[in-house]
Amino acid sequence: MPNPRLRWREMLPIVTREMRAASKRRFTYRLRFVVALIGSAQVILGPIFLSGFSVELGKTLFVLTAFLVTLLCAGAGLVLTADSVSREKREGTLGLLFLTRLTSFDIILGKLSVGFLTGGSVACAAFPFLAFSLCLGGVTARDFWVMTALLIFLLMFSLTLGIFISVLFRKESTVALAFFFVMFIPAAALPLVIMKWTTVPLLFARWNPLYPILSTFDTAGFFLPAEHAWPTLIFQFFLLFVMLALSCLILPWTIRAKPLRAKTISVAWTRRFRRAVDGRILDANPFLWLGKRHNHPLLLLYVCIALRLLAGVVTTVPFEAEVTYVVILAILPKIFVLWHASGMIAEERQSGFLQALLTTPMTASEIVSGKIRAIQRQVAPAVLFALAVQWATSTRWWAEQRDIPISTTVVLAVMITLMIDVYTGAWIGLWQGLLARDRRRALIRSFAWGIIGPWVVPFVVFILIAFIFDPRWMNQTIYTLPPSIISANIISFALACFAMARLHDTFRSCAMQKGSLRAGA
Amino acid sequence: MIARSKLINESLDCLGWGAAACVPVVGFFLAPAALWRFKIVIVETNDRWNPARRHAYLGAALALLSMLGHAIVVAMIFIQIIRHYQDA
Repeated sequence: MPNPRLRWREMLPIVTREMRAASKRRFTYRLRFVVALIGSAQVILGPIFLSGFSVELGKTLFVLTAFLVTLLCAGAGLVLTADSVSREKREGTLGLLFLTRLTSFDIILGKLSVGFLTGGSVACAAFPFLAFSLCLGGVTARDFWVMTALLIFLLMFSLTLGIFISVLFRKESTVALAFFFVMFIPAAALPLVIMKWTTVPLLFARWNPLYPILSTFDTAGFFLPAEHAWPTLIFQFFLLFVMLALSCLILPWTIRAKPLRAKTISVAWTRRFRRAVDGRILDANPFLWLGKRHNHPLLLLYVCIALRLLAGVVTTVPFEAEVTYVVILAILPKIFVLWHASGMIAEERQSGFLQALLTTPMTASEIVSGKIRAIQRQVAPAVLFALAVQWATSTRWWAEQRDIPISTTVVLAVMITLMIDVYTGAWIGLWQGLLARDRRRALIRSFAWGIIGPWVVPFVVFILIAFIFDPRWMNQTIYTLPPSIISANIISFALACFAMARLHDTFRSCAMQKGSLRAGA
Repeated sequence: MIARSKLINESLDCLGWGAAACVPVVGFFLAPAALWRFKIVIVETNDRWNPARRHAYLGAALALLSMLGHAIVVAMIFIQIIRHYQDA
């Protein structure tokens, strides 16, 4: 029977060691700096755009800061804890930890405390900006303390969820996908739920980790009733402890020398057909053949088709269902390309596979070209399907009205944006996957460069024009939306060119390094 | 793998086409040529030293800026035409 005092004494060195490692990481300081920068920018720019310090400014600042910190706290688990145990499993060091006197409880608690201290220090950097609204008015002290408590709880929940998923799975891609699914999909599905039921039902609210915070934003309580917040919070608090207990119980059973592999059943003629196709691909580009083994091109297509049923079920009006489906198809392929491109190459670099590949006579260009073609094959069915659906929907609207409605024009613009973004996503995903330390960081950076990046320039330019000249024409959307979409598309294409150039320039030097290139720089 | 002299030539051509892309109206159709040469330079370099690398980058940047400017101007003209017909 281990002595409890001894256990604490042994756990603390783990925490100390992890804290020392965190104190040497640039990421810890950069994130805190970025949070403080965004907070300061809000405080300085807010009064300029909302004509001086006022109660409206206080309310706006509070909501904006709370929203940003919510995203930060929700994503903390993905960055800090989601791959903590699964990495140990992949590297085979988890078994070594169990050879010491440590128990699963010590390991889980050690990982969790480190994540909480790192994430908490970043969140604490943002709280003063939340409190700034108190000085301006429009926000009561109660609102501030409730929001602070909810954010800390969300951070704790996110970190625990990360640990739990990390205990359950082994592969980094699976861990990231599972975390994303549990944490963000319920929040992303809120508009669909509201379309179906008008107010969010309690059963759905309980499984949405962001619900308690989002319900405070809906002050009228029409869509997100405030009375669901307390039962949701209590349920999630209970869930947090269940996840923690299950993690401690399951962890010792997850150690094994080799991952289990499912047996694949294949018929003789399909084997022959595959072998013939593989032979042709191998002749064309060996790296394309290697990349193709991980591809599941029809899976995404099936997901896209299944989502049509979902859109049909949750909406009551056919037009709403069509719009919802068009929006889903405009977003899903982009995210998938980023996830696939960044993740695959990040994993291959981490495992040293790229390094080994460079010892063969293949050139860097051949490898990159093979990788891009593998991505094209992977996403082509889904992207073609999305384009066909969008084209059919927009032309039907056109035919119904016997005139080109604005909705048709927008959908056609969305189609062009989708094609450009998929192309950009592939190049940026590969580039960031090559630079980032792991696939989660690669995905976050790719998302920032590929999805948010192109819209930043038109947004800033229009804000500056509005601030300096305050022109009358800016009140009309027709003068701001088309130039924004066009600029974003061309900037997106420019980013793709830049990513392609950087990828080819730095491929050999980056592929030779196993750790983070930014950290090592 | 193409010869280095050809690579340098392509880089300089890229700058030339990029500069030509800045010509109003006609330039919009010349920008893809600059970008195509930029792609050839990038793909074929293969860790070799290319003294005209910056020229290729500059050519691509000019071509992209030209495309951006042309696209915005065309969009604004298109909007004005639509509004004119709506008012009429």
